[in-house]
Amino acid sequence: MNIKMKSIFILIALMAFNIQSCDKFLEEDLVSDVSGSSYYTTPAGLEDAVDATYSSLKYIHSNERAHSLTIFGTDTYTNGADGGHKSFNYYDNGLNSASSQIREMWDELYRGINQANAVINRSQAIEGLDPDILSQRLAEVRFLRAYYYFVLVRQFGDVHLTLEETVGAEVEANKTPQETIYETAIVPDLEFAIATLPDSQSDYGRATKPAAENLLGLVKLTRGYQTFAKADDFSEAERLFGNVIDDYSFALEPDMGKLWDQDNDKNKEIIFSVQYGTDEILNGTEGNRSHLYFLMEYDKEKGMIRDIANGRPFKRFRPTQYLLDVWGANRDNDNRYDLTYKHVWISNNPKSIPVWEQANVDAGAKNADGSPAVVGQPRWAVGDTAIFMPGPGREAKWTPTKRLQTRYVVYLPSEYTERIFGHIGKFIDPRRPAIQWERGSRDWFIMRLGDTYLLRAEARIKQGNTTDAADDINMVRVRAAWPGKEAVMMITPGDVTMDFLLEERARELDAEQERWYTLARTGTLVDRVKLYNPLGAPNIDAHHIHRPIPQNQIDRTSGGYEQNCGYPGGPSCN
Amino acid sequence: MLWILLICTPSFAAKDSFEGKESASLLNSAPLFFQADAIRGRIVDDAGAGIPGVNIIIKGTSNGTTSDAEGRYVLSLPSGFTDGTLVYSFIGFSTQEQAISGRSTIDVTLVSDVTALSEVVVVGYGTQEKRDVTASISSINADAISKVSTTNALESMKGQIAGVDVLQSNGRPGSTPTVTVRGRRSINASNDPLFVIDGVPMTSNTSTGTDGGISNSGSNPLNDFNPNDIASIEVLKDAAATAIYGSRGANGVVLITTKRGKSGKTTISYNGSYGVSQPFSKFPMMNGAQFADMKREAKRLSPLGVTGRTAWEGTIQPDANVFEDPVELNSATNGLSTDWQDLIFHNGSQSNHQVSANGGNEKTQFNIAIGYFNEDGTIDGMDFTKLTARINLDHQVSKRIKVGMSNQLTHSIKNNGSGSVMSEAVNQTPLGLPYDGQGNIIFLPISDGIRSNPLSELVPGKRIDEEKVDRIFSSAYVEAEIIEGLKYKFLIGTDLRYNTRGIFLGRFTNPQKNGDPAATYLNEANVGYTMENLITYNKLIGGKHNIGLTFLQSTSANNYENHITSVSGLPYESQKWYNIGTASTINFINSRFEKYSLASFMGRINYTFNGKYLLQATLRADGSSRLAPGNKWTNFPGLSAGWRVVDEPFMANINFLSDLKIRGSYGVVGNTSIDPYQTAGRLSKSVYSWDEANAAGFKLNEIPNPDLTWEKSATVDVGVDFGLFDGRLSGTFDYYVTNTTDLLLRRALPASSGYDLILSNIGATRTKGMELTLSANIVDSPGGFKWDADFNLAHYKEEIVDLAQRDPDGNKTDDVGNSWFIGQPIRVFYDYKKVGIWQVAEKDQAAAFMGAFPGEIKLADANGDGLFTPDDRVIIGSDIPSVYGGLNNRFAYKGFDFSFFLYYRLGYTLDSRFNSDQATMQSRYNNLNVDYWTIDNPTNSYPRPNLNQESPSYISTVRYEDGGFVKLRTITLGYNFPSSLTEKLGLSNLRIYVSAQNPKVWSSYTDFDPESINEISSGDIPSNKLFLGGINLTF
Repeated sequence: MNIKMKSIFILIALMAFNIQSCDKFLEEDLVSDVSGSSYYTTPAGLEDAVDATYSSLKYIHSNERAHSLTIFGTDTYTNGADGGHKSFNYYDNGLNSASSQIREMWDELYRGINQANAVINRSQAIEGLDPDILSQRLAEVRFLRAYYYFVLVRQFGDVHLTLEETVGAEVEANKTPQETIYETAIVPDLEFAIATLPDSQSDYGRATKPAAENLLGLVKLTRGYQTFAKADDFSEAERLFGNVIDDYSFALEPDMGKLWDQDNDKNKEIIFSVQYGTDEILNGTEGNRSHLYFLMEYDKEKGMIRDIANGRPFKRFRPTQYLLDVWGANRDNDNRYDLTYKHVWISNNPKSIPVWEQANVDAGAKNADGSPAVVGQPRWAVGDTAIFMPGPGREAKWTPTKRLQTRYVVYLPSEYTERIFGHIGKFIDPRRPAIQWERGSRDWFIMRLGDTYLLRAEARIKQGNTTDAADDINMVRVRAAWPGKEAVMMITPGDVTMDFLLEERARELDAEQERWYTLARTGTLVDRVKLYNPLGAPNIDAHHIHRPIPQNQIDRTSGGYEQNCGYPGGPSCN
Repeated sequence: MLWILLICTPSFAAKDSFEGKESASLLNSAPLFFQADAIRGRIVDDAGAGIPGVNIIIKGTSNGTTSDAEGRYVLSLPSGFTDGTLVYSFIGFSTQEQAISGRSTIDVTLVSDVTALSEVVVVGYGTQEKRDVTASISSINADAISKVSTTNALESMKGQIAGVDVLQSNGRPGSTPTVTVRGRRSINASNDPLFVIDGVPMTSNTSTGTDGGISNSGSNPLNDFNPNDIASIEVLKDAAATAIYGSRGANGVVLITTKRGKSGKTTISYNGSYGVSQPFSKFPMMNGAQFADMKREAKRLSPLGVTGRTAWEGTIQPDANVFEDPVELNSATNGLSTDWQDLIFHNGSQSNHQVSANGGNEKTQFNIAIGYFNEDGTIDGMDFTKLTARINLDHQVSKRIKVGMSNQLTHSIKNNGSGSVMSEAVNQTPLGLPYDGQGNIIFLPISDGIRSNPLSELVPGKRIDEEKVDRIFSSAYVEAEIIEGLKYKFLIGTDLRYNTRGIFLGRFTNPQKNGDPAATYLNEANVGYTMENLITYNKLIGGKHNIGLTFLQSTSANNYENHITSVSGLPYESQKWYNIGTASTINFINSRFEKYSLASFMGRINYTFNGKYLLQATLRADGSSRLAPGNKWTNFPGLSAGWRVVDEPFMANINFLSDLKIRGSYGVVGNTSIDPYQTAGRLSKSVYSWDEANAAGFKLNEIPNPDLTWEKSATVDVGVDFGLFDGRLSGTFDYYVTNTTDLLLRRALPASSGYDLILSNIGATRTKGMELTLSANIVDSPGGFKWDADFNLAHYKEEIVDLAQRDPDGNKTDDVGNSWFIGQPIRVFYDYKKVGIWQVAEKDQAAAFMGAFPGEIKLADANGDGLFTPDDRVIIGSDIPSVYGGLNNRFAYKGFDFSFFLYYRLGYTLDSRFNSDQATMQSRYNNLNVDYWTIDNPTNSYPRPNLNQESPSYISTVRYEDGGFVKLRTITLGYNFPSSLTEKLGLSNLRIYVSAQNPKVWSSYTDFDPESINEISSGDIPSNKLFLGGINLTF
C-alpha cells in the first residue's frame, strides 16, 4: 500500500508541476504585431498613427473609384468602352446604394476620420514628445479630418459626425446636417491647422499652413452657395486664396508641360499632393492608378502593341464633344490641349503594319523615302508614326485624299468612339516596371496654384468683382499661351461670366478629379449634364447632387440609416 | 476549480484500488480451494499459425489463462469441472466455446472476424465495447477506407457516416475536401472537426489566410497521411462524446487509429493500383459561330446610332464593324472555331503503391509501411506526389510497463500549375487561333490585352506553383499498470510541419504578359506538441457494478512562423524562385509569428450496472491562450446514459429483436477556433511616403475586445441502436438538438464607426437533426451468394436564433448587411428574385419600375409595394441539403466481389458564380452557351448581350440553382484467388480488382460536377472521373 500511495503522490506532483505554470503558459504575447493600447502611447507610436492618417489620402485619390466619383457624369467626360461603373455617367438605376465604389469611398473616409480622432484623443496621454511637434501633428490630423469630412459632405450631404475615436462596437450613427459639420468640424479644424501649421514642412507631403488656407478657402467658397451660407464666405474665400497666392513662394510653372513632368512632381506650383514613390513597398497596394483610365485602345491599332511607355489602356473616361469643342476653338493661341493630350503613336509592332492598297497608290501615296507606294508593300516600319490624332480644330486639312496619301492612320474627333478618343498624356507613368503594372508612382496633385487662381476668380465673381477675377483668370491664360500669343489670350472684365470660368476650369484642370465637385458646388451639374453629356442627360435629376448612402451603412446601423432623397428606399426630395 | 477535484479524485481511486487489490488476491488464492486437473491444447488461426495471447476462461468463472507465443496453453482445472465449458476469445477473432466433455487436450482453430473487431470502438482517451457506448459515435474500418483510391482518408469517409458531410473542392491533384459534422454551428469561427491521431490531437495550423496576395495552403490535416495506414476512423458526434475534448469538441471529433503490429507470423502486404482520370465535364462555352452571333447582337446599333442598352431594337452592324480584330473577323467569316478546353485537357493518371510489414512476438509488435501516391492532373503542370512512411512499435518492458511509438513521416510535392489556365481557356475567344503557321503558340491570340493563350501557361518551366510539405507526426507513450486495473499513461506527441511554396511566373504568362519574370517564395514552419498524463482505473465490483475512471491532464501548444518574399524583374527565368536577390523590384516582404497554447484537465466516470444500465459522466476544464484574461478557463460537462433493453428479461421472448439499446446524452463543448491575438486590438501597417522617404505607419485595424470568451455548444442527443432478425438488419437512429451560444461572431459594424467589424460573443444558433444508419445482410445463400447493404441518411435544420442587432423596442433583428436572418440558416442567399426578361410589350413597365429596357433582367416586386427598392431582396435558398448520405451495396459470390456506392446530397441551393461570371453578356470574352434575349428571341432566360457593360445589371440573380445530386461514387469488381492457387504461389491472399470512381452523376445542374463547395468559379479545375485497376497481395 505504501508503494501504491507513493506512486500516486508522484503522479499528483507531476500534475501539480504542470499546473503551477498554467497562468504563464496561457499568456498571449504579441510578437509579430503591436496593439493600439501599447504602441500609440509612445512618441514613435503617435508619429506612426499620424502617418497612418495620411494613408487614407491614397485610397480616396489613387484609384478608379476616385475618378468615377469626380469625373463621370459631368459636362466634360463620358464613358469609354470598358469598366463596370458607367452608371456614374448614366445616372441610371445602377447608381444605387449597392455600388461598391460608393461604399469603398464611404468606408475609407470614416476609417481616416476615426484614425484622426484616435490621434487627437490619445495625444493627451503622450509623454516624451516635444509639445511643439505634438501640436503640429495634431494640426496635421485635424487638417486631414477636415478634408475627409469635406469630401463626405460634398458627395453625400448630411452624414454621420463624430469627433471621438470609436471604442467598442459602435452600431449607432447620426445623420448630421451639413451645416453643423461645417460649423463644428471642418471650419474649426482648419482654423486650428492654419494657426498651428508651419509654412512648409521638412517632410515633403505633410500638411502646411498654405494647404490649410487653400482648403478652408474652398470650404468657404463651397458653403457660400449653400442655403446655410455665411455672409462672408465668398470674401473669406477670396482672402484665404489671396494668402496662398501672395504669402508664400508658390508660382505657376511657366511651362505647363513641365508641371506634368514626372521628374518635377515637387514643383513650385504644388500646394498639397498625395505622395507616391517608385519603391513598391512604400506604395503598398495603393499606387497612383490614374495613368490607366484615360487611355484609348491604341494597342489594337495597326502597327501597335501594348508597351510600358504608351501605357495600359483601360478606356474608362473619354472627353465629351463639349470638351473637344471648348478646346477646338482656340488651339492656335492656347497650348493646353497640346500639352495635355497625346497626338502621335510610334509603331512598335512589325507584325501588324498594314500594306498599301490600290486607293493609296491611286491617290499618289509615297513611302518614307519618297518612293511611290506599291500595292502590298508595308506602309511604314517600326519607329515610324503609326497613329496621328490631330485633335479638335484641326480637321480641315485632313481631306480624304490627303488621308489616302498618308502612311499612318489618322483619327479625327468626328470619328471618335468609345475605344478611340482623345488620350490624356499628362498622367502616363513610364516608370512602371511591367506592362500590366497598375500601381504608378506619380504624385497626385490635390491643390495647385493654377486652381487657386481660378478659385479666387470664382470668389471674386460671386462678389461681383469681375475686374480682379479677370486678372486671376489671365494668370493661367497667359501661362497657357503659345509664345507670342499672350496678349491674344488675355481677357477683359467684360468677358468674365460663370460660364466662362467653368470653361476655363475645363481647360486648365482637365481630368483632375474636380469637375463633379465644381458643377455640384456652382449648382450647374444638372443643367450642364443635360446640355453636354448625352448619355447622362436623359436620367439626371436634382437628387443626383448627392450620392446614395451605401446599403451596408443602412443595413448595419441599429435602427437603420436614412437613404438620401430620391434614391430607392429614401424619401422623396422636395 | 476542476484540478482541485482532480487531485481529490485520485485519492478515491486509491481507495478503490485498495479494495481492488483485496479482491484480486482473493481471486488469486481461489484455486487453492480446488484440486486441479489440467487441459492442454494449441490455438491456431485459419492459416494454421499459432495465436499468442488468446484468453481461455472457464465459463462462469474468472479462472483462466492465456496462450503462449506458439499458441499453446495449459489450463489448470478445478476438480469436478469435467463438464464445464471453455471460452476462447481474442481480439479480431470470433469467440469460441468448447465443452470440456472429459477431454484433456483441446485444439482450437479461431476464425478471424471483422465484425468482432468493430465491436470495440475508440472513444477518445480509451476504447469501449460497442454495446456499452452511450454517446453518438460512428466508425468505419480499414476495409471501407481502402475501397476508395484517394490520397485523403476524408474522401473515403464521404457518404459513409450519417451526419458527416465531406465535400471535394475541385479536381486539382492534392486538393483537400472539407468536412462538417452535423452541419455548422458557428458563423465565423471554424466549423472543422478536431482530428486526433493515435490519441494525439492535431495542433497544426489549419487556417487559411492570405499573405501578399498568395493564400496559405492551409493543411487539411489528413492530406499528409496515408489512408492505407488507417485501421479505423471514429467520428464522435454528440456533445457527450466530444465533451472530453472540451474546447475543441464543438465541431465533432474525428479519431484516427493507425494499424498496429500483431504478434505472430510476420505478414508482408502489397497494395497497388493504377488508374486513368479524365475531366468530369467540360464547361459548355460558346463555339466560334455562337460567339460571333453574340458579338453581332452586342454591337447592335440603335436608331440614334449608338450601341448599348437602348439599342435593343436597332440594327445589326456589318461584320467588318463587329469584329475589330482581323483574326476574329477572319474566323467569323470562314467559320473557324477553337475549343480551348480541348487543347488543355488530357487524361490524367493516379498510381498508388504501398508495402507494409506487420508482426512481432508477445513482447514487441510492429507495423511498418511505406507508401507512394502520385496523381497527374488532367491539365499539364498539375500533379501531386506523396511519400509516406509509418513505423508503429509496441513493447512490453515488464509485466506492468509498456512503451510504444507511432511515427508518420511524409514528404509531398504538390504542383498547383497555372491559376490562369482554366479561366483563360473558358474566357478566350473561340474565334482566336492557338498556333501560328509554324506551330508556335501565339501568346495573344487576338489583340485583346487581357486574355492570353492558355497553352502558354502550360509551357514547361514557365509557370510553376509548387508546394512542398515535410511532416513528422510522432508520438510516444509509457504505460504502467500500477496495480491491477489502475493504469498510468504518459503520452507526448509532436507535430512538425514544414511547408515551402514557390511561385514562378515567366514572361509569357497571363499575370506577367510579356513583363519581366516574377517569383514568390514562402516558408512556413509549424511546431506543435501535446503532452498528456492519463490515469485510468477499471473495476468490477460485486459482479454487477462495473466502474471505469479516467483522469487526464494535458497541455498543448503550437508555434507557427512564416516568411514570404515576392519579387518581380528577375533577370533570367531558369532560376525559378531560387535567386530572388537578383530581382529589380521587391513587391512584398513579410514575416509572421503566431503561438497559442491550451491547458486542460479532464475526468470521466463510466458506470455499468448488470451490463444493462449504462452511465457516463465527464467534465473537462480548458484554458486557452486565445481568449481574454479572465475568460480563459471554462468547464465542459458531458453526461450520457444507456439502457440495453434487449437484455431485460421481459425481452427474452421477443425473438425478432436481437439488439435494442436506448441512449440519451447531454453535453457542452466549446469552440475557440479563432486566430490568436484577437483580443489585443492589433494595428495594421499603413503605407505612405514623404516624397521618396518611407512614411509607413500603423493604423487602427481591430477593436480590442477584452471580453472575448468561449463559444459554447450544448447538445441533447437521443438515440436507439437496434438489431433485427439475428442481426441481419441492424441500425442506429439519433435525434439531436444543438444550441450554440456566445457565438464568436464577426459582427459587421456600420462603416461610420471607422471599422468593418468586431469579433464578439454575440448571438446564438440552433441545429436540430436526425440521422439514420441501416445495415442489412439481405442475402446469405447457402450457395455462397451474399448481398450486404449499408444505408445512411442525415437531415438537419440550422437556424440563427439571435444576433447582435436590436430594434428600438429591444426585439431581435436580422443582420441584413451580412445576410444573417433570425430563424434562417447561417448561410442563405439573399438577393433579388429574377422573374424573367423584360419583353418588348413590357417596355413602359420596365422603364417605370426599374429604369430598364427590353432584354434586361426583370426582377420581382417581392414586397408588392409597386416600387423597386432594396426591400425587394428575398431569401432565395440556403446551401444546406435537406437530406444527404450514402448507399453501399456489396455482393459476393465465390471469389468474386462486386460493390457500388451511391452518394447523395439533395435539396439545397447552389450559388454558381460560374453562371454569372462566365455570362457577362458583354461579348468581349467567351460566354457560357446560354439562351439569351434578342428582339427575335423573346426568351426569359438570359439578358441581351451588350458591349457597353462589363456585366448586366442584377446578373447575380441567375446564379441560384438546385444543386441536388446523386453520385455513383465507386463501383468495383474484384476477384479473390482461391487459397488452393495462392498457396502454390506462396501467398496467403491475392485479390485483383477494377474500379471506377465518380463515373456518373444524376443532377439537374448540368454545367459542372455539382459537388463543390457550393460555389463554382471559373478558376476551378473540373473534378475527375477515375478508372483504375489494382492488386492486393499478402505473403
